[in-house]
Amino acid sequence: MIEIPIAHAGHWFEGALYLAPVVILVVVLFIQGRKDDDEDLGPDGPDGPPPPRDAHA
Amino acid sequence: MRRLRIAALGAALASAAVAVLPDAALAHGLVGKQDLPIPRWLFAWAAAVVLVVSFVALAVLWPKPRLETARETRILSVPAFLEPLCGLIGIAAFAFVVYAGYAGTQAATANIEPTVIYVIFWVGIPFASAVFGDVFAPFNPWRALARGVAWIAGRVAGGRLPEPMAYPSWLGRWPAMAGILAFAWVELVYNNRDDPSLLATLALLYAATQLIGMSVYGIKPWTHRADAFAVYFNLFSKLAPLHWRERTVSRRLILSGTTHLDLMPGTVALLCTMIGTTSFDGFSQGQLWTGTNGIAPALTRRFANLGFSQETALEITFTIGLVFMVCFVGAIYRAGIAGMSSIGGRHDQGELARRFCHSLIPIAFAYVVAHYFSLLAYQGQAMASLVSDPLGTGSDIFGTASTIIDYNVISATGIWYVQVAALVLGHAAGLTLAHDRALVVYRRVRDATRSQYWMLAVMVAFTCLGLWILSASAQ
Repeated sequence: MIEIPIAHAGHWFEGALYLAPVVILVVVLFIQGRKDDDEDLGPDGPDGPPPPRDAHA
Repeated sequence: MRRLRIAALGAALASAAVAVLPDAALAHGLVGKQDLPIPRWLFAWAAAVVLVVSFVALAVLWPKPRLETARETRILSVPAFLEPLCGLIGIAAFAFVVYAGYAGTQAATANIEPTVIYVIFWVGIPFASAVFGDVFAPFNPWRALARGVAWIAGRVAGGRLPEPMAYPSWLGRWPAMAGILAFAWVELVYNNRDDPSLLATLALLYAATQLIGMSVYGIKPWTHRADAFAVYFNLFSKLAPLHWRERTVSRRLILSGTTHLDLMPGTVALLCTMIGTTSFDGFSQGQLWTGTNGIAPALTRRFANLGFSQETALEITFTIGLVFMVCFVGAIYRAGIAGMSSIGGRHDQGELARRFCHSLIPIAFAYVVAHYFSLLAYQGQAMASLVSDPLGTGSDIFGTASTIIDYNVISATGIWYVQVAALVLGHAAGLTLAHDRALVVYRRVRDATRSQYWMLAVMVAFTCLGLWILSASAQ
């Protein structure tokens, strides 16, 4: 069996402190990316605004 | 959008795999020699903030490509006689180092050969290349030997030498990547890495391989693509403000040389190998890898239980670590590229990986500075005594044989600041190169900026990884 080095919580926390900026940045960029996508699509979605009611009249 | 989510998840998981693992060194309460005003992890946060600010500044203040369109200015011509003279010096130096390996003492620290190979050649030349340009090319001993032989053969045959075979385009820089990985394996994994006579034999084998390659595929194509060290040093020289070409020296904008990198197969793998092997060098000195409850002892025990000798089990373990780190670096880069490919919708991942890989060159150099600066500062001083007694036989040619290394030349705190500065500047440079290239690749400035969200994540991930490794190995 390979023993995974498991220390107490403080050590995991210390290691996680180096990871935290990456995680925070990825989350922020992910949210920003979604906002940008929504702006690109506009309020009416990718197909543009619906045709006027009298378009076929 | 789905690819965007996968890329985000991939980048987070890839970084989590290493950074969250406990730093066993802290369990022993070892006090570092560094005297820092803030915890080391806070430097990673500060570095991330610097990169985010740099990213915003680039988006606002850098609307047009500058490095891609930078021009060179010719500043001087090199006299023709210098070329063969430098070649002869290179051949003589190579021959002497090999001779020292065989004829000198087999004690690694007393023989000049291991220090020349691991400190001056492997670390010193990248530093010089990044400042002065490709200084290795004129002194490249196997290239100089091949050119000399070709010149003599051409005279004897009256210019009727057969044309070399065409270098296969699919092979690209893969031989160089294999060569760098093999050298790193010898340096970091092989048990007899310091054996002078063995190193001399390996040096001769490498030179012979290069001579065969050059004779089959031609000197220039082989040297530019497959000669591992020539390619390795040439990549660093692209950061320099000086460009040596043929017999002229030109001045150029710093970093702009990287934009002319040939996008041939194997280039991304080579750059990831350069960063990954350097990372493993630092990682393998940390307690997480080598500590009593570390990964290496556990894996070594497992392989020893399978019947391998202790030495072989250790080499297998370190080989796995080395390959894992190279793949891990590649995974971080590919995660960023996957995210980038979701922007604009017209570029596949392979194309983007190749077109943006030049941004990894300053990162590779930053890793070299961060991990080997102290080696060069301390062990480089050993050259003063070694040149006087190169074979370790008690000679004192220049009267400096008794010179000792001054470990006060720079403090541990000073080294840490150099390492942090190198990592931050290297990644800021990588970010700048990627931004400049994005302005060419993407039609809209908005798409270019958005595509670089993912390069920013890659740069921050590499910076935090580098600082975490340095922090762990400094415990």
